[in-house]
Amino acid sequence: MWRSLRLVLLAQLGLAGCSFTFDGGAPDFPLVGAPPSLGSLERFNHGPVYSSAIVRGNDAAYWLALQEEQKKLRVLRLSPPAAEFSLDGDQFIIRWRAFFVWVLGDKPADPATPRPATLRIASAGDPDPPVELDFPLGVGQLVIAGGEQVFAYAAPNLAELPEGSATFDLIRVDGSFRRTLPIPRDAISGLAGTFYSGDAELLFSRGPCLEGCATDSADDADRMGLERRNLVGHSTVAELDYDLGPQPRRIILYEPARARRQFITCGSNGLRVVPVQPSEQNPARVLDEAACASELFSFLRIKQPDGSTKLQLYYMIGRELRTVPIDGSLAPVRALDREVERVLGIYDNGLILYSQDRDDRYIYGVGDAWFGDWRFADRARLIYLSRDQERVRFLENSARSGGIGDLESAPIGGEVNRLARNVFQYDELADGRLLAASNHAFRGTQNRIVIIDEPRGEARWVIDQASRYGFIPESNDLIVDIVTGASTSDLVRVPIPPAEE
Amino acid sequence: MILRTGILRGGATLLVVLLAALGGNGARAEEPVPAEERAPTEAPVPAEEPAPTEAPAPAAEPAVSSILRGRVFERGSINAVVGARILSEGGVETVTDRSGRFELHLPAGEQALAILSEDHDALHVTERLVAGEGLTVDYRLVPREEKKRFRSRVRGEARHEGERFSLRDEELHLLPGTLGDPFRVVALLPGVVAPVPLLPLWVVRGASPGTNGFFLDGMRIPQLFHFLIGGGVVHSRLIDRVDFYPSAYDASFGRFAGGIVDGETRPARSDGYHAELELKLYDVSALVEAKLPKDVKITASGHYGWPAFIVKLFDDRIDLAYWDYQLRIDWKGLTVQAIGSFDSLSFSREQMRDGQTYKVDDRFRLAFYRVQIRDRERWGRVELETGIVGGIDELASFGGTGVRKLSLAMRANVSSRWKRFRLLGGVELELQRFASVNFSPELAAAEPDQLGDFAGQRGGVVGGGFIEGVVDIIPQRLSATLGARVDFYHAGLVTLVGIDPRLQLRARLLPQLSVTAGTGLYQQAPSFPVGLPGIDTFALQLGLQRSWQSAVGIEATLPKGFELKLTGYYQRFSNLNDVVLDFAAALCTSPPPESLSGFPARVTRQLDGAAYGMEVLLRRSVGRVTGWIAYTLSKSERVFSCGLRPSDFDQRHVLHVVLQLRLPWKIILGAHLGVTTGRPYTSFAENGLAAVRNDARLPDFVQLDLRVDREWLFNKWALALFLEVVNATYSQSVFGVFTPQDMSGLPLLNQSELSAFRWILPTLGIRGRL
Repeated sequence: MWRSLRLVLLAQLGLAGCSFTFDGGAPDFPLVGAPPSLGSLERFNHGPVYSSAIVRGNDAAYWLALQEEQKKLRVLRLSPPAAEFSLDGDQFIIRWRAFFVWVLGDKPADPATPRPATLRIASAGDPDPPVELDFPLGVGQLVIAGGEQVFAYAAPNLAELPEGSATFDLIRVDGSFRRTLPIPRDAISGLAGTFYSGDAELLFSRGPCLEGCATDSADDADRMGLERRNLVGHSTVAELDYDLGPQPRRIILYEPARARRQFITCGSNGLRVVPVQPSEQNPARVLDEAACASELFSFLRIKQPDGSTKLQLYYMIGRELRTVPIDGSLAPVRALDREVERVLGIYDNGLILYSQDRDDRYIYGVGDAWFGDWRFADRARLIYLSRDQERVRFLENSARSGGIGDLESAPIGGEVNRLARNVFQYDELADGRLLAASNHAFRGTQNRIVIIDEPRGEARWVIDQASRYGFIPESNDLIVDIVTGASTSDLVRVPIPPAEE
Repeated sequence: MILRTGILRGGATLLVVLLAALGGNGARAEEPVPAEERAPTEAPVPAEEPAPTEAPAPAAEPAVSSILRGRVFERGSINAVVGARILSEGGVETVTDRSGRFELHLPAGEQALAILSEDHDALHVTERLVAGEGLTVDYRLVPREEKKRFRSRVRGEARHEGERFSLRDEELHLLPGTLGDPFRVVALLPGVVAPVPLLPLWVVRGASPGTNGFFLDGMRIPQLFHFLIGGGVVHSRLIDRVDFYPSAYDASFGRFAGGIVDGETRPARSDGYHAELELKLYDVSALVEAKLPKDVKITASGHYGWPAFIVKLFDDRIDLAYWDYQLRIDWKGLTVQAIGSFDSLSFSREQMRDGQTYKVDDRFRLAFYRVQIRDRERWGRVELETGIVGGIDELASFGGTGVRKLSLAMRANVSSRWKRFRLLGGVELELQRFASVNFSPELAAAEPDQLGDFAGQRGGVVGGGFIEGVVDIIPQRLSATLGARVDFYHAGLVTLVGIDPRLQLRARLLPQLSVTAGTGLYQQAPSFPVGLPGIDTFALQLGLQRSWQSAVGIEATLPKGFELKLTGYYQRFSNLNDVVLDFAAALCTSPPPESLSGFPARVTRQLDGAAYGMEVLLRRSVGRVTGWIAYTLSKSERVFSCGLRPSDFDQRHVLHVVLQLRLPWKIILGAHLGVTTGRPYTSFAENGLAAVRNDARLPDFVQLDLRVDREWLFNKWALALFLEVVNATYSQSVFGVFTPQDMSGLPLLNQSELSAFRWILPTLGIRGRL
C-alpha cells in the first residue's frame, strides 16, 4: 500500500502546478530612477490638508494657502524670505489675489432675525490690515471680479424679502465706490449669471423678463428666458448703466479697448457685433446673417497676403464651421470642408481639430477626435498639440469618473502609442518632456507623478504617492499632494528632475 | 384526515393482530377505513377482464369468486405507490406494480384488507365483493410523518471527488432562513461567510467571492440568486441535489480558485403529470411536469417576483423586479434544457440635458440565458457525457452602459471503471464574444469607460481538459484520486495556460470512522470580485489567480442518526483578485493593478495571502428532529502594502444552528440561529490618519430565522401554508463605518458612526401541488 502511495505522491510532484502567460501587447514605458524619499522633501503642512491653493501676494511673490483646520487658513510664502500668517474665520473664499473671509457675528436671540456677518478681505504680502465690511443680513452671495478689486453682494434668502425690495450691492474693495442696485423680481437666481468686464468697470446682468419667460428652466429651451431679458451693464465706478436690449443667450465679450468694448452675439438674428457704447467708429454690425447657435467662438489672427493680419472669428452655423474677420471687412466663408459636430481647436498651422460626437454624448465633453480624415481617438479629452505642433497628445478612454484616461501620443497622421495609464493630468514641459500624474484610476497611494521622455521611450520617477501637482510660478518646482488618508494630503515641494543628457 | 377517523368494523381486531404478526415493514396498526370512505371507484368490471400485464401473480390461488383490481396512490398527490402490499385477512397477498396497480383474487363477501407501504401509514379497509363480479378501487396512503415530503434520488455515484457537503430532500426546501431556496442553504454550512448583509455574497474558506464557481447540470452559470430578497434563479422543486465543495476537490472542476456549488435538476417524474403553484407576498412560482408518450418527460417552471412594493417602503425611488424560467425535456439519455434569469434594479433620478431636466432611471440589470443539449450514454464499463451549451449573458450598469456576452460551450466527460480503478477524463471549450451595449436608451451612457476592460468588443476562447484516476489501494478501506487539468484562456493578445495537479485520499479506518484529505492547485483567470453575468475573460494580462488548497477531514457516524465531521484546512493564495470592502483605508492598502481602469480598478486588488481554519459539523438527517450545528473557526489574511493583516472579510467565528422538528398534522417547525463575528475595518485617528489596516471590528451579528410549514393532503393534491421570518430578532446589520462631513467637506472623524440598519423579513406563502 505504501509503495502505491509513494508512487502517487511522486507523480503528484512531477505534475507540480505551473502557469504560463503569453502577452503580445505593447509593453508600457519602463519606469526608471527612484522616487525621492518623502521625508527629504519640504513639507508645507502641519496636519492633514483638506484644501489648498497658490495665490499671488501684493508683494508680487507667490504664497500657499492651506486649510488644515475648519476655521483657520494658514498662508505661507513659497519663495524667500520665509513668511507666514493665518486668517481665522467661518468661511473662506480664496481668490488669486485676495482672501474673502466671512466671520459670523453673534447669534441673535430671535431666530427669525438674520445673523450678521463681517467680510474680511485680505491679501498675502500686504502690510495693511484686512478690509472689514459688516453685513447685517449675514453671509450672502458674492460675485467677485477677476482682479478682486470689486465684488457684488446679495443678501441671503432673497425670496423672503418683500416684493421689489431685493437689492444687491456693488462694492469696490478699496472703498472708493459703492452702489445699490435692484434685483429683478423674476431674476433667475440672485446674482447667478452676472459677469464683469475685463477691467471690472462693468458688471453685466440680465434685467427683468420682458414677456413669456418660464420660471422653470426645464420648460425653457432658451434657458430661463435669457433672450427675453435686457442685457445691462452696471458701472462699478459711477452711477451709470448701459442697457443693450434683449440679446441672445450665446454672447461673448470682446474688448480690444475700453472704448471699443463689444459683445459678439449669436442668435436667431445671426452673428452680430453689439458695442456696449455704440459710436460711429464702433457701430453695431452683422457679421453673418445666418441663424447662429454656435457654442464655439474662436479667435485667430491670420496673416493676410499683403502682410497685414486680421483677427478672424470662427463659429458654427449648424454643423458648418465658418470664419469671418471681426471687423466685418470680408464675407463669412466656410473654414472646414465637412460638417462636424464640434470644433475643438483651430491652430495657426492650419490644423483644425474636431469631433463628430456632441459635447453631451459623454461626460466632461469627451468625444472622438479628428484632424481631417484622420480619426485618432475614440473618447478623448485634454487634446493638445505639442509645442512644435508635430504631435498630438490626449487622454484616451476618459469617459469615466474623474475624466481619467490613458495618455496617448501620435505624430499627426501617424501611429498612436500609449505613454501612461490612468492619467489624471499632464503638461508638456519646456524641454518637450511630459509631466503626468499617472496610475490614478482613483485617488490613492498608488498615484504617482512621472516625467515621460517620449523619444527615449521611458518614464522617470518624480514622486510616489502623489495624486496631483501644480507648478510653482517662476520656479522649477512643483507643489504636489501626497495622499495620506481617505480625504487628506500632505503638501510638499518637489523639484522637476532635469532632462537626461 | 378522513382516513384516520374511520369506523372500526367487525374483524378489525383480528386484522390488527394479524398485521402485527406479519410485521409489514414497520407498519403500525391503524383504524381501518370503511369501504364507503375509499376514493370513488368506477363501475364494477367483469371478472373476465384481463389483469394488467405488469401485475404480479397472486401469492395464493383461493377459490375464485371475485377479483379486486385497483391502484394505490399517495394521498395529496397523483403519485402511484410502487411495491405496496395488499393483504387480505385470509392471507391472500399481492404487491403493486410500477404504476401502482394490483389485482387480487378473493372470495365473495366482506373482505378486510390492509395496504402496507414502507413510507406510508398502513391503510385498513373492508370491501364487499360480489361473486362473479369484479371491483375496481383506488386507495390513497398517507405519507408517514417522518417521511420526508420531498425526495430526491441519487443517480449513480458522485461525479466528483473531494470533500463535499450534499444536500437533498427537505434540507433543500424547508430550512429556515433560506426562503425555501436550495442554494441559500449553502450559506448555513461550515466554511461559508456572507460578509455583506442580505446579499448572497459568499466567502468560502477565506477566498475571494469572485473565485466561487456555480454549476447547474454541468453548465457554468454566473449567478445563483436574484437580487436582495429574490430566491434562486432555478425553481426550488426542480433542484434534485446540491453539492458544495468548499476546497480541495478533484480535477474535474476547473477554472475556479475557490469553492464550487454544483446543482442538479431532476427530470419529470414518470407517473403522469404534476403541477405546483406557490404564492408568496412578493413572488409567484410554478412548476409543471409530465410524462409524454415514447418516454419523453418534460418539466417547465419559473418565478416572477414583484418585491418593489417592499423596497419602496424604504425608498420610493427604487424599483425592483425579477423573473426566471426553466424548461427541461428528457428522452432516454438525452436532455434538452433552457433556463433564463432576469433581474432589474433601478433608481430614479433627475438628469440635466440641453438645459432641461429629465427623469431617468439608473438601471442595474442582470440577465442570463442558457440552452443545453446533454447526452449520457453507457457502453459496458464506459460512461460518456457530452454537452453543448449556448448562452447569452447581460449586465447593465454604469449609467446605462453594460456588457453582453454570447457564448458557445462544448464539453465531453468520459469515465471507465475496472475492479480497483476508475479513470475519468474530460475536455471543454467555450467560444465567447463580448460587446458593450447601452441597455438604457433613455440614458446617455455618458461614462462607458467606467467599464474599464469590459468596454468595447472583444472575443475570448477558454478551454481545458482533465484526467484523473481513482485507485482503490485497499478495497473498501483506502482510495486515492490523482488527477490534473490544463486550462487555457485567450483574449486579445494574451494567452494564459494553467496546469493544476490535484490529489484526494479517502480512508475508512473503522466502519464508523473515515478520513478524507485533499490537496491541489486551483487556478483561475482574472475575475471580477463578485460573480456577474457577462464579466469574464478580461484583463488576462494580470495573470492567473492561484490557490493552493489543502484540507483534512474526519467523519464519524454516531448513534441516533448523528454524523460528526471535523475538518481542518489551509489555503495559500497568490495573485488573488480580491474584492475591496474597506474603501476608507488609503494607507496600507494594496494598489489596484496598474493595467486596470474605471470601476474594475476601483474594486479589484491583486493580493497574496492565506486562509486557515477548522470546521465542525454535527448533523442529523433522519428522524423527527433533524438539522445541524456548524461551527467555523477561521482566519483569512492578506499581504497588504504594510504587511500581513486580516483580510477585509475575515470573520473568525461563525456558528449556525439549524433545527427542523416534524410534528403531527404535517407541521414542520424550523429555526436557524446564526452568530458571526464582525468584519474588520480600519479606524482613523483624530488627525485623519489610519494607524494600521483592519485594526478594529464591526459588531458581531446574531440572526434568528424561524419557519413553520403546514401541509394538508387531499385526495389528489396537497396544500401547504408556510410562514418564514428571517432575522426575527430584528437584529442590526452593519455594512461598515460612515464618517460624516461638514459643510465644507471636511470629514468629522470624531463623529464616525456605523453604517447599519435594522430589518426583518417576514414571508407568508401558500403552495398547492398535485
